[in-house]
Amino acid sequence: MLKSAEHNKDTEKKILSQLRKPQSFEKGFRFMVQTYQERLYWHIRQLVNLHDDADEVLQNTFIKVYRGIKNFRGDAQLYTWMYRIATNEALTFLKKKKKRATVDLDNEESGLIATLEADRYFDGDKATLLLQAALEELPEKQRQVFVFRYYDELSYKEISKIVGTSVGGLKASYHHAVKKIEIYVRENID
Amino acid sequence: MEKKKINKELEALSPFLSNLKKDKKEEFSMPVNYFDKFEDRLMHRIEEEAALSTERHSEENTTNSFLSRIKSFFRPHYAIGFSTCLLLIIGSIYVLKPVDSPTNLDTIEGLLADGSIDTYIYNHIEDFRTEDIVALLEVDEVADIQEDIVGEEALNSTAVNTEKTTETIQSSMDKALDAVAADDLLDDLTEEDLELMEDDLF
Repeated sequence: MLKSAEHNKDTEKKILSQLRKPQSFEKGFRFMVQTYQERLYWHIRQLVNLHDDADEVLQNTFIKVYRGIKNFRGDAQLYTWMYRIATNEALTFLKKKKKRATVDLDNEESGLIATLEADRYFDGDKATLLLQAALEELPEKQRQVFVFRYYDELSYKEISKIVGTSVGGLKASYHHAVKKIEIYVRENID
Repeated sequence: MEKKKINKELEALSPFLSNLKKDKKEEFSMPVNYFDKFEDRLMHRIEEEAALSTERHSEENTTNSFLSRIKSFFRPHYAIGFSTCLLLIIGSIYVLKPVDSPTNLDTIEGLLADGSIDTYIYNHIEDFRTEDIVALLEVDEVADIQEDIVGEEALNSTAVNTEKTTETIQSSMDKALDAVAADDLLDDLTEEDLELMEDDLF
């Protein structure tokens, strides 16, 4: 993922130059959506699990980008900035969803598993279901790092740019997350 | 390169999880052509939100301009003028209150009922001109007064005339008596004429 982003620095430059001119703004924005939509979708999907939720969060992310792109100063790379927005949007969405949920907190885990099993866009096995349930149990920071590393396959350096935490801190969080998930899945798989 | 690094790291940390790891696209799917349609759906939503936002802004602007007009009206120099006008209006309502206002009518009716006005007029009748009093009276009332006056005058004149006639008769009778000798009259009287009848007694 990172490599393709790095190799596409020229693409990012092209997008930014189009976005800075009013006459080519929409063209540049559409180009940006085409370039990053899939990567951002999968990142969001791992955080929110369901396709419909991922779709909503992805739209919200791009709307935020659309509104804020004029203030983007270029200190960070465009994709880093967009990943940050997508992560924040997904976490905010999950918090709101949790508040809205009428299910008992004790049954949240089984609620998530049941929802995923009923989702026509989920084809995973029991181990994957348990992994998702274990992710829900993790503290926010550990969950973020695990998704970035395990699913998005980003380097610690990249994750550090996105979440604003030191590489050492991220490594520690990732190690904790892996251990907790392993224990959870092992305990619940049979 | 990074992918290999990540897998190696995971294998070292948790061989169990490393074995479970699969490509997410194998387990999670989405509607067909989702990414092909996403861009257009997104642009449509952005346009809709922009239209809504413009609408909201225009409503806010209308409200704000109305409020700012009201606010500007209450700036110190306007406020002084406004307060002065308000005071003048309130003052004029009290000062220029119409005479036939319900309160005044009630007061007059009260005075008429207890006879205060009649008493006042009676005591100060000299201060009023006849024309003014007549002007305040109804036509019938004037006619009645006129009738009363005529009747009174007639009575007075009758009384005077009667008095004059009586005087005339009396003097004529005196003259006639003077002319007739009293002795002659007494001579003509009989005893019967001098008897008193019962009817003559009161």
